[in-house]
Amino acid sequence: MTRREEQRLIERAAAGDRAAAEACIRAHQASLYAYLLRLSGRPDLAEDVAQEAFVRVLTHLDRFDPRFRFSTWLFTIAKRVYINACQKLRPASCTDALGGTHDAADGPGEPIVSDEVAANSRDAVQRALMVLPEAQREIVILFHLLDWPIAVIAQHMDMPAGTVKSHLHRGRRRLREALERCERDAARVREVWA
Amino acid sequence: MNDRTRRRDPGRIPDRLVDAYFDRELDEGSRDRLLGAMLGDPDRAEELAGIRRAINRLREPVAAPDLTERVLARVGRRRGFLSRRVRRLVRGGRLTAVACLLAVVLGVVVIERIAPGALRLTPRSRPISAVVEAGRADAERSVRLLTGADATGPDRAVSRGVIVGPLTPGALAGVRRLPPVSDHGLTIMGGSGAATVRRIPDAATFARSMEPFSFARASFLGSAEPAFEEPADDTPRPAPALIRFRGLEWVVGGMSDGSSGGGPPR
Repeated sequence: MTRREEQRLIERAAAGDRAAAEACIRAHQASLYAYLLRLSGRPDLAEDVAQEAFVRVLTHLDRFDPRFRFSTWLFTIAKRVYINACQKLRPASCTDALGGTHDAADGPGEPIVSDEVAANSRDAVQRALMVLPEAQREIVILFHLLDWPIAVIAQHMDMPAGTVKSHLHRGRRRLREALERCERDAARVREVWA
Repeated sequence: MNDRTRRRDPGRIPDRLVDAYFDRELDEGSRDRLLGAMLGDPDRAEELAGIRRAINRLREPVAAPDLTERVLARVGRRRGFLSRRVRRLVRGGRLTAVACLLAVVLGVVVIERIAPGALRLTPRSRPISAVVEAGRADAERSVRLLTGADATGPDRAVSRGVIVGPLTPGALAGVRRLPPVSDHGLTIMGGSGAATVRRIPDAATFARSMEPFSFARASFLGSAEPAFEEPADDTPRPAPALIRFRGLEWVVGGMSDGSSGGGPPR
């Protein structure tokens, strides 16, 4: 979607066009959810935050500044909602959990063994991401998952571009090391329980 | 491994080159050279492959729930959506309002151009000195008019103390300045007889009943009961008389045929 198309869509949605609002959601929900999921490691939280962010954005479309990209605005609001949600959820912090990818619905009746194997093999990259400090994690996600330019990330994170780059470089290396470690662990678990 | 390592191992690919590669900052030639150099640096090649694998894993799509209906329902409850027809009406209304506004502005501009100040609702503010000056000028002009300097028709004739032509009610006679009269009385000094002093109300009209002493416009004095008795038909008409009233000296009189017109005020 070009900037012009996006702008027209937003104008229509702001004027009360339901179809335009729906198109806005459909255009951004996958990337927003992925960003929040990778950031938090919790699908339930990512879903709630994404939903709340969309509602806030679509309710206040008249405040949107067309000089910026809609996605930048949406993600900024989503991050704010996410931070608020994390503060409410403490001490069960969002960023604590290597096991954050467990479904909240998983009950004690689930077989522990299969759960651990599945958790290890299912989303090693999520576990690796959770090892990174939050700023590094977010920058790696924005750059490599959402393909945001460094300048836009710097604006979003409110930090100089050089700082963003050094976070990115360190985060990328740590991600590789953590992912290799997680994969080794997962392979070991599979071997043990095979 | 970093640039310090590279100093120890000159064959090693520097970190900054690897970072630039993953930051998408290398052009095609530099990228090819880097990949070629990997052949001689297996550790770096393994590291590069590990990072590439991690990035690829990160970019694997995740199953996202469809939030559309839930979001739209909540947004609809908060601010509501409009049907296409209503949106058109709203847009049409806005356009009409803008067009009306433009028409009003254009109309004002045109009127101001044709008749400047015609649309002014309040008088233009002026310094008090200008107001005083204007009042003085008005007063002087009024006096000039009353003395007949600027008068025309019968009034001009009266300024010489002679009324020419029919002395109709409301015709202005003549005037000379006198010191103010405190009691607002009226002194009539007949041309031939003794001076007759009559008191009249502040506002009196001398229409009809005072003919030929009718000397003031009714609108000037307002309306009141006549202060003088109607002269009998056989009463000889008085000669021109001098009347002092409200600090002004009036010369009135004269016959409709002009036979006994008075002279200049005495």
